[in-house]
Amino acid sequence: MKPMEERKPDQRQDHPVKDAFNGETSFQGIRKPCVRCLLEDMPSQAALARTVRELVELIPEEDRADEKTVRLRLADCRECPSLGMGTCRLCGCYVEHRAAKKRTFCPAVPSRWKV
Amino acid sequence: MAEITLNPKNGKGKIHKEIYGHFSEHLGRCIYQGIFVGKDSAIPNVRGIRSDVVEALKKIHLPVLRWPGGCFADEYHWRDGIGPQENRRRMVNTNWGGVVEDNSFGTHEFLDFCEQVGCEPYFNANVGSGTVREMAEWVEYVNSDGDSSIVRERRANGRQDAWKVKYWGIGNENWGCGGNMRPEYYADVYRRYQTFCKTYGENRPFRIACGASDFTFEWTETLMKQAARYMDGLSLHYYTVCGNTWGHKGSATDFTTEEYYTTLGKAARMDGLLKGHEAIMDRYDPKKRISLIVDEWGTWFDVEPGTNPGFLYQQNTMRDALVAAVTLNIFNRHCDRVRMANIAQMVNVLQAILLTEGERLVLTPTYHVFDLFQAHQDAREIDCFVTAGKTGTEEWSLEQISASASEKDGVITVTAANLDAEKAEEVILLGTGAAKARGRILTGEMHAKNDFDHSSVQVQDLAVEQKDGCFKVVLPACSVAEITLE
Repeated sequence: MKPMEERKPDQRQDHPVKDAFNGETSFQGIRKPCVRCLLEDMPSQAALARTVRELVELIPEEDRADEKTVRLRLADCRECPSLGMGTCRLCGCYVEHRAAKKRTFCPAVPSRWKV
Repeated sequence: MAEITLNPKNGKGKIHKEIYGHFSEHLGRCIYQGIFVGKDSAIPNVRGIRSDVVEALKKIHLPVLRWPGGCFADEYHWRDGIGPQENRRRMVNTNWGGVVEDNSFGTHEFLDFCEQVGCEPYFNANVGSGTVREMAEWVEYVNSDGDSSIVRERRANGRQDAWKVKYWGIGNENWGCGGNMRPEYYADVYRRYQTFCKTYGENRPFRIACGASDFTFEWTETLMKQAARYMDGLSLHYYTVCGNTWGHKGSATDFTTEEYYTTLGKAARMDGLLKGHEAIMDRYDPKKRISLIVDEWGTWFDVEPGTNPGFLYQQNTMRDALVAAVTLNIFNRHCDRVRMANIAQMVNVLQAILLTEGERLVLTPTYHVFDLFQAHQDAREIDCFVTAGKTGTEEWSLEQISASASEKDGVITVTAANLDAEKAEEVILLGTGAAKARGRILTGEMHAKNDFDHSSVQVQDLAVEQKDGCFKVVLPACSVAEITLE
């Protein structure tokens, strides 16, 4: 049996991203919040951005939005106050992944996406 | 064929409605977006609180809601969340995807939410990083009607009368995120804090000490030995994690039949877990004055792919519904000691009963289980013997049928689940003494779920056949049923 303090992940002290992505990266070291940025804009998030890109590639071709649509959606996300460090706080998704799906929607009311 | 034999004359007493309680934490999108969208939102709301969520919770008669955490509770300073919105403290949590905590949902908003739903609030006070004075003033702020400075402050903030908050948790997981304390040390800290968790008028607080995580019996032993006389309740946390490590908990939606049974097997361990802690409590408190409060329980899987791991957002399938049914049947059967439980968490986090995205709302299979079980709230538990075969795997051999029963106002309610993933089962109900019966059922393939496009998992009517003085139902594979007899 593990020691008591190891039994449950401490959500603030552990780095959930490290947990989920095999230790490739973590939020550690980021002191200044970066708002309205995509993951690809943040060097310290490069490994996470790669992982999200891999997740996008796992979306079946027929379910994937075309490149132009994705570009337009992400342009709208960049202007949205609910974007923080690559995450939409209205839905919890990495926007680069959410925007890549054909059948999806912008959770803002009203929608910020035009396509 | 399985048999459920009832003995309505015997039972363990009242099933406190608080067993059907929930938990809400400032984590991911549970509070913000899940409950609170702000009064200027285009999403229908009353004073910023989502109307669709309130309506859904009223339908299942949500009895009690724990807040503000969780680990968050031991970092929460309640004064940050009162007064004019524009003056409230703002912080950006970089560990949680840059989420802004602007404290727009604080004490007044939470208690407004509870009043809109009609449930009891359960406050978890900050012991880990707070002070005795801070907690004592919070109790006074919400429970006192005396003419003190604190009460005048509350009235200036718009609330004339005390809310009369009954349930108070003194710290959370103080063996871990709440301060990494040893049980001997925490027991003394608890004794000190509870001294100042005072009674105002007739509002005597129900004081809950931080209890153990899963099978850490030594924590319960020490707390009962050193502090039993000072507590009304002792908490317990237990999560059902399919995978073998916290790093690989398994997918919420993509799982094998073996993983299905592993998950149900781990959920069913709740029975042995309760027996272990109860045995210790019985030695120090044989009259069962102190309640066991399971204020965090439920499934914990890997987050949905493409979502920020810090948000702990997971989908919810029929497997989760079976976990809920098995667990709630166990709680009913332990109702002489277990008097409150709070599934983690109510909206958008872990085993949520509700999922939201923008203005859309999904009722998960777990929500429907709470609907099917709601007749047990404040009913009298009655003896319920189950004779059934086994299902599962070599490692996780399970009773195929899980059930519990209660009686209220001459009406008997039996809740039963068929854990088998593939095989339907005929179930005979004996000893009911009833003249008529009706039923409702939730069933689906084990991966079945509701999402923002489709909600195929719904409660349906269940045919109950009366034959030779007893009742018969057929429970499909992977199903949860409510049978009402009168």
